Amino acid sequence: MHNARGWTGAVVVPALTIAVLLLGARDGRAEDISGTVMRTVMLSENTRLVGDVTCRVTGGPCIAFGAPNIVLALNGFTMTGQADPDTACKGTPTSTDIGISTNAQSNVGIRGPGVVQRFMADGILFMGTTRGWVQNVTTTTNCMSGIRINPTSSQISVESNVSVRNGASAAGFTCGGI
Amino acid sequence: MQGNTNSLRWNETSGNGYATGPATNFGIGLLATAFNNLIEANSAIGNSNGIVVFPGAANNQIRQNVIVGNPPIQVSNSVPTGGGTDIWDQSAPGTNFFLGNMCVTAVNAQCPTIATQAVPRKPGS
Repeated sequence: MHNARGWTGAVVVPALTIAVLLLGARDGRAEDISGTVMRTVMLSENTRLVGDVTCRVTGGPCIAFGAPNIVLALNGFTMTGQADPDTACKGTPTSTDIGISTNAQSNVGIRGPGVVQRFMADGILFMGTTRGWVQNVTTTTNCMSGIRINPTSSQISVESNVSVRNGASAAGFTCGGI
Repeated sequence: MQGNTNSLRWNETSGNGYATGPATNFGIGLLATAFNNLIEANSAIGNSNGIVVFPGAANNQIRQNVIVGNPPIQVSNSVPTGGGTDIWDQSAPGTNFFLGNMCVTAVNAQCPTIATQAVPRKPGS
């Protein structure tokens, strides 16, 4: 749908009021995201949610950073995955279905307020990232951890977040809130 | 957490984790590769375990956190085989550092200790 500065492979469902605006970096604005996402949204510049996001991505993250030195602002909205609202995955996660992945990009941030919920893996995953942060985000009912920092990430600041009702009971999935 | 040189501050974790099953769950976890991290002024309340430091985690500072009610009392009674504790240090003695945490139950850490230093608050609240 977009050029090299926009989403990579994102599919948008128009009927569900999806707005994607590519605004130039010159005015300090960036991509706006809302609605239903069918394939991974790859961020290339500062991005914000302008409405709730329903994720139908399987086999990968809903949103992934595709460039360093950028910020995703949840802007008070909610990202929702495909897990059950009451039972999540009943303890058995699907490790690829992540809400937000830093995707080995450095110096990236996720700013709340906002909610990341019901993903079948981690809500937010810092993967291969040096220098990053997440602030004021609520993660809930995700099937692995609410926020995870993987072994190849460092200098990550996790501040003032709320992480509730996350976890898995399957073998090999040691996880929880953060 | 599995990485190194990270900081967790002013986070609230509650109601996370399964009381039974093959995987240990937690509010805040420092896994085997976690090194040189700061866990400060967080709360971990009503999780399957509060803070778990796994074998291999080293040189982490865990200080001034409120870690209580892990697991909730009904879970302790209705799932007696589930275990669970506020702080569970599985690492080698002396390899991680605990200071001023408020907790009631612990394995291989100082509890019960009601520490007046533990007052997690979000900035500005």
